[in-house]
Amino acid sequence: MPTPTYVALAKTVLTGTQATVTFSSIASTYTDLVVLINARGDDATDISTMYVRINGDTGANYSYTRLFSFGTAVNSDRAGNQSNFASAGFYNASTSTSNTFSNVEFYLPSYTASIKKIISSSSAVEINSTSSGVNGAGASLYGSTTAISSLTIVNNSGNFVSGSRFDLYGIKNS
Amino acid sequence: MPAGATYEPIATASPSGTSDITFSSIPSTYTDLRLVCFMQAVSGTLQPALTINGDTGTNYSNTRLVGDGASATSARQTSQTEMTLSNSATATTVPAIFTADFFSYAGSTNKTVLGVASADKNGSGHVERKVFLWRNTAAITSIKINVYGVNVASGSTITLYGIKAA
Repeated sequence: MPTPTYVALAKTVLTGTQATVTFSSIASTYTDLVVLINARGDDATDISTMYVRINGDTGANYSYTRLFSFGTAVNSDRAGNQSNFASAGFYNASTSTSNTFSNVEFYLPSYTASIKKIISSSSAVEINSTSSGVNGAGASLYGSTTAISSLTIVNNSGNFVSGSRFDLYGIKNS
Repeated sequence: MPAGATYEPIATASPSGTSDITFSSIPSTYTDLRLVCFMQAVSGTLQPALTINGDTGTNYSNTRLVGDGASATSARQTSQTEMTLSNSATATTVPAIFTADFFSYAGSTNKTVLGVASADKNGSGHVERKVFLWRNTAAITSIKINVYGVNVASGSTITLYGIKAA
């Protein structure tokens, strides 16, 4: 039997509204981490953003660069010295098509290495609109060399709704 | 009863120094391949480029979408001699991540590869999505990661994974 190398570490499926979701006590025995999210928010807009906080750190230690199509336009932006990282975590909110959840992925390589952390992300929001919908990609830097032991997914404004799902996976490279 | 692991590491390298890295004798027993490069440079900028099966002919092309934090652009290149994972998202003394997904790598059609580059340096950064075509119908048995003499920092890792479909 092959040794599992892409392992489900934790999952959270909301049964009510919740502003944040935290994965804590993350084992250090993997090489990379992947967070897969299928979520919807209740803030009064069609598309919202989610953030990720590492090890509970709310200092200005994050930066990001994003590339995203928004409706008919393609954009790129960035920000430095942030207290969270945004990194293209776009997802459906309350005025978008009902019963529609978005997919977001965060990939965190070498999360236990004693160097700064880079995070790759992608997200997809489709709401059957001629003027909205997002296909996003992002890079984020966390300027700490500490191993990652907890991740908190933070709603930018409002809450994640019931049925939103958050999965954490560990990947081993040997 | 699950059939077993479906996402397996085939080979891992911990590059340090200026040498290129080659994964050879790739078995044909998977459906797809995934290359994950977590790389940092001691100095200079690192833009890893891939060649397949030792082919350095003008058999590669790509179409890319790039964001640098200020603008988004699209471009393409034909008849290239390699697959540069990023034309702009470089690893420097801050790490970057580059991934490449090779679909049906053992099949008998030309090979399509999806590349992703993600780099941010707290004040500048690049995000890049690329689709490559390698105009060759041979099964992929080796992948070379060219670093062009840039000094790769200790702690960098490159892993080739095999993915099995059911």
